[in-house]
Amino acid sequence: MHPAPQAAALALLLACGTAAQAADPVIDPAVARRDVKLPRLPNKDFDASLFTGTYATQNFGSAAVVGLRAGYHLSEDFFVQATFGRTRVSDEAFRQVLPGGVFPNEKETLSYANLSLGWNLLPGEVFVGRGIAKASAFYLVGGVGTTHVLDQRRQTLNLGFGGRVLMSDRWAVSVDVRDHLFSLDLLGKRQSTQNLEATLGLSVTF
Amino acid sequence: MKTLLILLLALLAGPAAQAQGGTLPRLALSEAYVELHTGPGRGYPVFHVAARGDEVQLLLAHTGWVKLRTTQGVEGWVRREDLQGTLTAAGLAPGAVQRFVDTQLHQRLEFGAAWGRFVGQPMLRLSGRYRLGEALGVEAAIGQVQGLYSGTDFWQLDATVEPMSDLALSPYLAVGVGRFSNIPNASLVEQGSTHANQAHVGVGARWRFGSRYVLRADWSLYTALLSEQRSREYRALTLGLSFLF
Repeated sequence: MHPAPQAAALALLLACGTAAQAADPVIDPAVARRDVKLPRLPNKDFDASLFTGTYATQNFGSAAVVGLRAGYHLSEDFFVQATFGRTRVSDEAFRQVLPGGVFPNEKETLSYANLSLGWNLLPGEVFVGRGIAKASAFYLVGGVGTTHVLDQRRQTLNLGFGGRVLMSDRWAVSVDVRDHLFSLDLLGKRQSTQNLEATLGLSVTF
Repeated sequence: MKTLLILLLALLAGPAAQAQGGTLPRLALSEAYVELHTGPGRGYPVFHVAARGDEVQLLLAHTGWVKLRTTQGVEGWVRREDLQGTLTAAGLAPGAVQRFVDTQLHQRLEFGAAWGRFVGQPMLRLSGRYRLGEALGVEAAIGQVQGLYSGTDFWQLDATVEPMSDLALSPYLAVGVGRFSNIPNASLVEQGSTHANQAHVGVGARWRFGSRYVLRADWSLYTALLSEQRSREYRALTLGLSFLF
């Protein structure tokens, strides 16, 4: 066979192929991309709570305390917690013997903020009657922070324990007892004071 | 074949899930069995066992635990590692925060608190550190020093160098600037607050333990620039605990 007809046949084939491809492509590249949306598993490691209770100062009476806590659960064992609380202190006891008292006003505000580490020591369950069981945890907590009273800011250690009952996936109730240790010199001498606080809190997990 | 067992239906799981604004994943277990605890922790008792092939609905995650519901309506907590096969096969997407932590942070972000002595006075410091690379990092901190006659608040920004950051116990060096605000105790003296810029250097060591915890100790030398002619030096020693994101 001569090479010329061969080349012509090949050229014809190629031309036909190209024309056919242009008219009817075997593979259509314009496929709409599937939008696969994977479901999410919500992670609930943060919580915020509102608490109230009693704050008993060593020298200046006890009064109601209210505050906020924000927590982050590091693991099943440990959590960190930032707390802000506010209460009133009174020098009423001193005014009976010291006219004029110790404070400029009889009642002053005491506020504190701290950062604490908690250890879920005793996980367990709380049984309400025969049919209801709620997961609970007893924890130890301790941390550092600051207490602000009468323009004095005192570094404060806090140590305590508490119990938490998970009412649902979202809500939990906690009872806390904390000792706030800080020094004060309002009575003319610098002394370390122990100030006990007992609170009941409601927290929401998110 | 195991993967064929995995069904990812991703159906709306009822009003509860709709209220949360998402779809709850439903999948079949690929593990031989998993133990369901009453709460998210190893201390909570096991009360139910789900076996391979059982279809479960994942409700939420809390630390290393996942709450699930079986087709019989039993709800319990399973350790996340025990579900790893199922979760991996299902290709489950982590939540937005977790995804950011996993893909963007790689444990670069660290938050911590430290307690120590500043010229013999108690010192408290809260800090956040971001690791820029293998060795370099930046740190911001706020703190308080409680003196006998006055209290000092401060903030500082640091550049940190940790040349052997791959070791569990590694030394580091920090250099930074900041500002002191000294506030006298109102009960003692009638005096205004004083402010001073400060510069400091520090050396310390970090010990990584567990998956995301750091114990650190450091020694710092602060120079407070009290006026154009006058400066004072202070030494501080702190011990702190941090956790990584």
